[in-house]
Amino acid sequence: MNLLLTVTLVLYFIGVVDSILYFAFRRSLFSTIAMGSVGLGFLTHTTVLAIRASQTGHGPYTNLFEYALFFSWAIILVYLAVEGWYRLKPLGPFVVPIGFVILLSALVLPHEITAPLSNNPFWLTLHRTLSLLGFGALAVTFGVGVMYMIQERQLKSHQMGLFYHRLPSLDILDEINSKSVFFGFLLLTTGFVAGSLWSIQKSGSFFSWDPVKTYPLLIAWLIYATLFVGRFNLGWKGKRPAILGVFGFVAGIVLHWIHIS
Amino acid sequence: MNHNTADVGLRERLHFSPSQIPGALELLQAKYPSVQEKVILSTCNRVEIYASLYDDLEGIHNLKEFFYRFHEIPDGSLENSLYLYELEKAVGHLFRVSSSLDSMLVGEPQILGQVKKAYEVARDHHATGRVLNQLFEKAFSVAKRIRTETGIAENAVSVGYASIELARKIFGTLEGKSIMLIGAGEMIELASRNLLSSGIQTVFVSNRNFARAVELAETLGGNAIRFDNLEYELDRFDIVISSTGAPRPIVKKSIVEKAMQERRNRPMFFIDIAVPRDIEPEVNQIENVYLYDIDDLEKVTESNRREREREGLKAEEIVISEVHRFLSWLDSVEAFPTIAALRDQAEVIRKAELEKTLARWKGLTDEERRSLENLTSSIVNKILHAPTVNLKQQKENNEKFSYLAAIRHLFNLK
Repeated sequence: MNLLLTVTLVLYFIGVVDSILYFAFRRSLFSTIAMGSVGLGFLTHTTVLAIRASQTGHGPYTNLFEYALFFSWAIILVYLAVEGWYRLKPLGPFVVPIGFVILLSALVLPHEITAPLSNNPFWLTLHRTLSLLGFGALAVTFGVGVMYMIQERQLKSHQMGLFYHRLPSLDILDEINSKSVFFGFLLLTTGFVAGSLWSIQKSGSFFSWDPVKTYPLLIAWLIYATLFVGRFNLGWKGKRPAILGVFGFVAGIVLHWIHIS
Repeated sequence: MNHNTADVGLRERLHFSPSQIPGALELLQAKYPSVQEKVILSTCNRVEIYASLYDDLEGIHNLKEFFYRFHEIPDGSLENSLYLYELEKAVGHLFRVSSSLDSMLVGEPQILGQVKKAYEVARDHHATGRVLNQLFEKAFSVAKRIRTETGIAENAVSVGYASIELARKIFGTLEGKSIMLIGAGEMIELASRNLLSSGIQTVFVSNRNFARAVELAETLGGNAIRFDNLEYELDRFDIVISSTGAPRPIVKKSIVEKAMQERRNRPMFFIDIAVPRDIEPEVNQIENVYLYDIDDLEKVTESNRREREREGLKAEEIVISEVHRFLSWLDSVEAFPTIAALRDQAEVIRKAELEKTLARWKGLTDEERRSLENLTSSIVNKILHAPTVNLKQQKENNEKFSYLAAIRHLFNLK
């Protein structure tokens, strides 16, 4: 499994480098290599997850190592879906590195198998699966948010640099922001409901109001709730959702870290 | 000869009109047999003849002579304006021409169609053969490759194109977008033509003189709006171009802010080509609003120019690698016809001489005939063996072609 994990990392690394090379030089060879290696890496990554699940006998999220394994998988999954749908080659350098770095962190985390949680882990598993898939979508929100902010800056300032020619239109970036926030937030929310149900089963209350366990998640959720409502109820477009999408993901990563550790 | 070597007057004189080209090709065919295959490319910026020659020196001489005679110009009077490329330089030149790298406005799309047309005319008049067919087909695929793999065609350099490109970076596609023109002068008509040819369907014109607005709207296939209603209608438009003679800004920040609320923040793109400006510069501060004045557009154009130069370098690399590919193909086909022709000729001579001899010697047995046959064959083969092998092994193109030319010349091969 460790060998496969290393292979996955190497493939993602090639993907990161070549997608950046494509972005800089726009030679189709680079994007072909980038897409090929990320796609192949995703297959080996999936195999790693499957092997791990067969070893532990449950979904891969009982410790930080498994968290990182699954979270990076979710990011690449959503990235490949968006790339396949929109054919947006410049997206690679803004999303693939996130998945790569998170998977890289798995290497240094302890690998030993923790005993599975005994009391009805169904809701807990669902909570973690959905939340992480939601965060995977929000990683793409982050990526297109960064792209939007750069492109918007160029267009507003009238100073056209290299990025102006290489980044796609604001319109498409805003559309992907909208779609990824929609799905990401819904998954995240469903995940939270599942987490609450698990909490009710475990301790009998809806929220345990543990300041370390609950608040971070609530804050991250509130940021995305603001973005969601702003987008779909108040008609926010463009820069504001882009900034919130970037901010929400950074805050989400930090807060999530506090939550799970 | 092209726009770099000859001025407009000269280019006009040497131009081949489409109706002249078939006749010119036939004339070349009939009077200058050393020119084996030929294509005449004549556009407003260049007059070029692409040819594959039986004999380099004679062919080049013939081509020039043809050029002078056809246009009735004294021999040798154009030497400074003509250029002559051979082999890889010629191949590379055609690749560059077709990909618009050699154009006056690099990246302009018309040239490829013109080259295609020139080739088709020549092909239909049986003026091309194996070499030029392959060369031109290759040139078209190189042009296509450069168009798709580099941004050379994307970054048009004029101000009009710069605004289309900006609009595309903001809106993605321009299909279904609506545009408002404030003012009805010549400048605005010119500026809007580019945008209108790129997919925008809805166009409105607003002008202080309403009759003039109606007039321009009609020529552009749009509608007119009364000048006083401008601020109430503004929210319906994605793109606004303004060019009036007003001394003070007529589109104020507050008006645009109101329009943006109506639009629920959908982006707006303002282009102000008036001097003094028609649109308050503060409009650019509003979220999702992009305002460009004439100086800003110039800056974008400048950036496009730089980007295009970078793309040009990339395109140049593609040209060089494709030239090498073509030459190695040429290499593989070119040697064999000459060798075959040489062997054929030797065989014809051998047979003829053998027959003469056999006709005189009546009393030969079959065996003696056969051994005479074998003797002559082996003499011919032995003599031709070394040149055949050497020709096939010759790797350096330039040398190889001079060898081939020498052999054709020495043995009177056609």
